[in-house]
Amino acid sequence: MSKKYVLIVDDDPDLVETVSMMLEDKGYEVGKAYDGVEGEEAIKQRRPDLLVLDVMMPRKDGYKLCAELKADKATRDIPIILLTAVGEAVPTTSYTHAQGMSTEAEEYIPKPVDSKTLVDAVDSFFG
Amino acid sequence: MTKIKLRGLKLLEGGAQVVSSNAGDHSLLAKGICSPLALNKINLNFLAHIALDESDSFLTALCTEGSAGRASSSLIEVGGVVDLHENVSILSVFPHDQRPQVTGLLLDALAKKKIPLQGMASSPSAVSSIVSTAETEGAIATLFEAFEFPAYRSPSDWYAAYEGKEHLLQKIIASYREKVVRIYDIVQQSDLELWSLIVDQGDLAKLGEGLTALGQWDRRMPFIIGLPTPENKLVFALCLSEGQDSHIRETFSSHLEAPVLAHYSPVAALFIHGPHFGDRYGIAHTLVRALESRGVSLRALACTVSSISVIIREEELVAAVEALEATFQKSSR
Repeated sequence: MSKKYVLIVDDDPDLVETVSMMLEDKGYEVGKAYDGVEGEEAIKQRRPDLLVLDVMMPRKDGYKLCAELKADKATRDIPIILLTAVGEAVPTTSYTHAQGMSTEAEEYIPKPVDSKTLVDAVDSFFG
Repeated sequence: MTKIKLRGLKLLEGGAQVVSSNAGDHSLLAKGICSPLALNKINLNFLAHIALDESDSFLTALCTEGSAGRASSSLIEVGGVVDLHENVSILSVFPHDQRPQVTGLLLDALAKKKIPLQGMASSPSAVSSIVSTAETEGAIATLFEAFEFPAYRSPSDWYAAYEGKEHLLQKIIASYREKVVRIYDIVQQSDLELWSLIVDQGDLAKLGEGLTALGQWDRRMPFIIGLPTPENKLVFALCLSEGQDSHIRETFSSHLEAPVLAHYSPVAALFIHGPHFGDRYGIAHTLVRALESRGVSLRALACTVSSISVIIREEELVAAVEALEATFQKSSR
């Protein structure tokens, strides 16, 4: 059986590294992108089976990319796990868990998330 | 020659660097450096530390926000030399994927443009260099010449993408008020050797060539730090996989005139990753104190981007992991 392909899009390179190592250990094939535009291009090149998406990123944030993917017939079926930020403590930022939940992502996990929780959430999409 | 493709570049400007050295008390990293900075809520953007020999002399370099530099240098109590270098920038490139040639090319590029390196530290994904603020623009241009960044056509493209985010980021960092520090994960890597070298600024290109040669032999380098000495040299400590002694020694001696300073084996690396670990006060102190409480002695430490990497004797790995797991909390939904 072919490996499921998970794309991680986050501008924290250490988080991308940590999570990708754990997913690879679990048998997933992992793609990495470090901002919203790079993530969009990676999706065009190869459609992921699941997308792990950060919200606060340069060039294009996770909310915008999520909305665009869900508005496009070709990509709306890609499940998205949105990693939301700590914005509840910073009322002037829009990068909050509540804002994340107003998107059409399938799953919302507030940061900081431990890697195992994230891997479990990824597993849950593939039964 | 084909350029190495990298995916990103981060810049932290307006910092201050403090370098301290001490002979004779290794525990001073916790009580003489990390503790007073944490108590005064001074964020550490960068920390590199090396135990130079078995007599517990050590060298530590750290960076803070510029306004905290003078206070930091006066708060540090190590009984040795403390130097303050104001107006520095931290430039981080990623991912290095443990390829020595990424650091090699970086050192080579900076050296050939005569941009002095004031410090270096790696995280699991990135390698960070400290340069003076006056050299920052030139250093970024040099990185764009040395590496390929497919996401950005030019330095100005990159500047445009990052402008305006700093204020928001500072607010988010300031919002962390944890009684127990939450982390994403602790990753272990064992069967490593720790090498340390002392290199003149003028020989950094040669060190770069040596690292590139190691990379061409598929050697993996999960850790590197570089700290400035008062004599305008740099002490480097780097980890490579165990069991390659003669080849590594030969590579260094064929590129560098200075001999290998020290070689420890086996050592293990622990990578602790958490949100904004490279920007928040108290994290390094919590970690160093936890290890010290279990009698684990650090051979080397790096804190940059969002991780802290520690190098310890392999025989102390179990105690170190237990200490860290008891101290930090893995987040959950």
